[in-house]
Amino acid sequence: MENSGYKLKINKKLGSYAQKQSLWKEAIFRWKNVIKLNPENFKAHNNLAVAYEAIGDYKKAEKEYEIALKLQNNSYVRKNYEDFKSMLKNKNNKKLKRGKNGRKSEKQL
Amino acid sequence: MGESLKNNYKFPLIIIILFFLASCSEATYQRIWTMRKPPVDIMKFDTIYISNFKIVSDIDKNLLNKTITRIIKDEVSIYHKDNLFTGETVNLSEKGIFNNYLFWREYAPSSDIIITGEINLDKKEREQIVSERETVLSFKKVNRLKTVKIVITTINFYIINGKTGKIIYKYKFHNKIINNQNDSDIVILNRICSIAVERLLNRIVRRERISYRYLFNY
Repeated sequence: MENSGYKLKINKKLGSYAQKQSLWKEAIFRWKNVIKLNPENFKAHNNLAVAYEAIGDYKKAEKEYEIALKLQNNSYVRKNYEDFKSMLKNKNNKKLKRGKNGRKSEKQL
Repeated sequence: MGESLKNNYKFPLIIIILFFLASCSEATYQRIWTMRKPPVDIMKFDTIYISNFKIVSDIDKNLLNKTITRIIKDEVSIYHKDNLFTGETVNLSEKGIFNNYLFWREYAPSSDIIITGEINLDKKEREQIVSERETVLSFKKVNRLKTVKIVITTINFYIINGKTGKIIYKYKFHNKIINNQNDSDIVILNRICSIAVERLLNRIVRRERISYRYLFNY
């Protein structure tokens, strides 16, 4: 029990350090460990979502944001989720516009 | 007012409390760089060969070819510094040349990808009402009947695998630009090619996007 508490503390510290240095893969590893030990930690879910967003894995990021919001309707998490959603919306709108402007020939062959 | 604030002990106390609260905030607002994934990422390839383009227009073919290859080379070299080649001009007038994988397979076998394409440039001159300043220094605008050059451009860019000769990616650029009559052909071509290459690069180069997110620290 004491050991898991120590592990949790270490992983939280290393996760915070990794995200400060923008070492996103390391941050993902650390926050996953934190969630394993404490699945109800909405902060870890939020940080994991941001790390996924930073490496471009938007599906996993969305899932983690939703879990974090379910656990606690925190204003910071809500703001992150809203910004993330608007970013995705802009991306999709651009794709739609491209289609409407007749650039249909652009395709991956 | 200033004197009373200085003498009032509550004012610095409030500032200290606010500063304390701000420093105790549980989340930090951090800048993150997210990668925008393009349909094709040319950074993954070691050697890039820029071929000449097939030109379907009355405009000076040599000048147009030189302009487009130079601009592509300059722009791509920002992201891909080594192993970027341009070669001798080859005849691409044959119909369906870009789908002829046997030709491209033997064209530059040592390079991973070949950037090439087809340019269709249609230039017209016509009279049009143009809104412009009355004199150089005045803010008043007047409508004048002027001769303008209209250039309709269609460029099909092809990214071809140098080893197999097959097309990896195709991008069609279409644009209509209205230029002054005084603009020379070189200026117009430079303008069009720069826009086209910039749009192409958005689709073949990985670029970073900056966003801000709240992160919790321990």
